[in-house]
Amino acid sequence: MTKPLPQGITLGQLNAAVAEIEKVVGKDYVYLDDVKELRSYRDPYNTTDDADFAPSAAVAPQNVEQIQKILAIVNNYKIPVWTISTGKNFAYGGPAPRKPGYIVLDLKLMNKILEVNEKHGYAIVEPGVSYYDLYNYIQEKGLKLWIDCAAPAWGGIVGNTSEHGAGYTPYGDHLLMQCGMQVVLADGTIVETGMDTTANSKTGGLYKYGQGAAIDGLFTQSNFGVITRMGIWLMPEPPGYTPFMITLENEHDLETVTDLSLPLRVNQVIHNAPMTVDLLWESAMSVSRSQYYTGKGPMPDSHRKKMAKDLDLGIWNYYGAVYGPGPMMKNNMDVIRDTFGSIPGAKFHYDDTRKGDPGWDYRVKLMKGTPNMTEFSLLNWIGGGGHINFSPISAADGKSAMRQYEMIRKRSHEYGFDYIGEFLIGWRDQHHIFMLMFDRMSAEEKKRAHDLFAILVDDAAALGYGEYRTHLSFMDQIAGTFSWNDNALWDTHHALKDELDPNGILSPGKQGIWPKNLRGNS
Amino acid sequence: MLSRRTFIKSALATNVALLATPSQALQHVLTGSEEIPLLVFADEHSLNSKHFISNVAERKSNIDLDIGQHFELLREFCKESPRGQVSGLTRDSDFFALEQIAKDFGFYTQYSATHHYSGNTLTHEVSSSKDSAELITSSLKNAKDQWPQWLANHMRVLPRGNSQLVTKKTQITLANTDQHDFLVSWSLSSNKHI
Ligand SMILES: Cc1cc2nc3c(=O)[nH]c(=O)nc-3n(C[C@H](O)[C@H](O)[C@H](O)COP(=O)(O)OP(=O)(O)OC[C@H]3O[C@@H](n4cnc5c(N)ncnc54)[C@H](O)[C@@H]3O)c2cc1C
Repeated sequence: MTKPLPQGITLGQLNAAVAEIEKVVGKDYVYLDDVKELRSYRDPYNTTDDADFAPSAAVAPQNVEQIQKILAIVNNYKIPVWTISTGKNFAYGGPAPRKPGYIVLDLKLMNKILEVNEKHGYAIVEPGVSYYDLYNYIQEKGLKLWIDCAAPAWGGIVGNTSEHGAGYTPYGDHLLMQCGMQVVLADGTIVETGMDTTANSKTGGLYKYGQGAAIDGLFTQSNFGVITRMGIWLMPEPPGYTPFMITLENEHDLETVTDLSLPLRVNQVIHNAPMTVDLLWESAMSVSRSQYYTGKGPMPDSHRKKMAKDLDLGIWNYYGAVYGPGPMMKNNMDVIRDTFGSIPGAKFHYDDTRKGDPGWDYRVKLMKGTPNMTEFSLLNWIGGGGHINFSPISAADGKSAMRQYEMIRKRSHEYGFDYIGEFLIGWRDQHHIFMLMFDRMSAEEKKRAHDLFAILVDDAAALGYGEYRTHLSFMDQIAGTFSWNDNALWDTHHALKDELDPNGILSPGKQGIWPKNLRGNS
Repeated sequence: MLSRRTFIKSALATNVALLATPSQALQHVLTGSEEIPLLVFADEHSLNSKHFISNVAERKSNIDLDIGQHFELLREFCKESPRGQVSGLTRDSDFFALEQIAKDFGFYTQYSATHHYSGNTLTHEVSSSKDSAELITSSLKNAKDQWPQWLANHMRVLPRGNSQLVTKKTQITLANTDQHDFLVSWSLSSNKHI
């Protein structure tokens, strides 16, 4: 197999750089074997040729000094590195780099939990700390704190927050809960943000903004620096927790349930981000598609209805939770029951009746920040299931939700795929996640999924919707839809990139941000 | 005594069907590789997988829906047994997750195969080293509906080592099957210690 090389770099240059890097971190922490070692830095859910995102090497530094030395070496050779923390960004590219030949800068070995402050409810962690690690630490120490994790808990605080990821407790907007970070810039300079910039700071985990421009966000979904430490707020364990689920019988109930949700959400009657989950997503937790339908194309309505009946599920399934002292929860639940009880056919479900149902059980865990991996079961809906997420933002408004849903469902059916999706109501918006699932062993299906995704980006843009995050393959296309005022925002990103990373060594192309030497080639 | 590698090679050269029956040679191989610590996973929901695990004598773990609950066991094993082998017959998503965890300990996939029922057809698609893929595919085919048992009996002769993987596919027709299973059998070991 020929070694993938970054654009403009020879094998000799790569080998010379790698030899220098080996001296910094030791040979055991540089991975070069394409067949075995580097295969795990690919994206098994990629819809194009595997070689499109194949790294040339990976390196796992153990501390900030080693990162500084590595950056000095790659600056010298002008070889790009692609930073990952826990490296589990599946559905959006996994650990794979944006272009072939980059060296993956894998921060998995920097996995110290530096501080957990129970009184003030925060943690300060290194990039390799996973949600499992933080949860286990808190349990072992008996601290009365909850974490908030993404559905697959093997990812971590730094990587997920860098991607603007979301969880399911009231602390589910991860970037909102982030407080203070340490970043290594391309030239090796170490920058602290927020309050930790002051000498002997005592308040780094408490106040986000410090003095002057609040620049933390600049280092997320971008390539302006390598985050080496992050503060994250943790929710104090509440005295009580009541999760609930409402099954809804009709497709158009999405509109009503969304409209009814917004006031409850913004007024904090429902404390977490409620989710409206479609039938197939829910069903895939316990059955496979072929148990109900073996034909080609999207599952027909008659089969969907039978499945809903068998599994006691709705066409939409709404999850939420309230937290706090008993009387407060009772008060909120009364309002919630009154509100949603007005939807014809709406049925409430709680732990007493639903426990043991796989879909319910894992949502109950997620809404209290108990790490698990159950959502991966979804991928068994079809054999060899892979997926990429199409993730547009909609208003938390019934008509918008329906419009997006109908647009995506129509297109996905046209391309022969099931609609599998959910809406998650944030503070004002909805994250709409369409899980575009395909047989990852089938080249034809992968190509079809790829084409569908590309057209969805354009369809959504035409209706005024943009995506909150995306897979490597679509970063440029989506960046192109954020083009107001003659691409003023991306021009600003590029101006920053050129200033902070003139050799273009940090994650070129991340989210469509390219260094000068590679702009126009993408 | 035959080594595992020699066995695969010689079996290929002589009779592909050899592996489908408990031959004398196979017994030799099994004894020969017994020192390799083995950890085996199986999906507790599938009948085929249950059939498989009931034939495995080594350290084993039944997987329910949350694969995350098995990460610690896998990590411990990889740490304690860097020369060991981790195998399984699981759902695809479980293999995907375990493979990712094992890579942090230098364990990589040396063999995997999908086993897919559709109507009356059972398809095995094997991805393995060049010298073993054909052999394993034929053996699975010959084993008919006893393929989980065949796998259980041959976990220890699955390929190890750092070789390029090739893919082979076979289909068989089975009477009276109403199964919808899509399972993956797999084997991970560290190439550094071969
Ligand atoms: C079945 C399934 C369910 C999912 N559910 C969710 C969910 O509920 N919520 C959710 O948010 N996501 C979800 N995801 C997507 C993804 O798995 C998670 O977001 C995961 O946490 C991301 O991986 P990670 O945390 O290991 O981050 P990483 O892979 O380490 O990082 C992600 C990206 O962030 C950037 N980055 C990472 N580290 C740094 C750094 N130190 N400095 C600068 N940039 C950096 C890089 O561009 C990197 O590619 C899901 C995926 C699947 C397959």
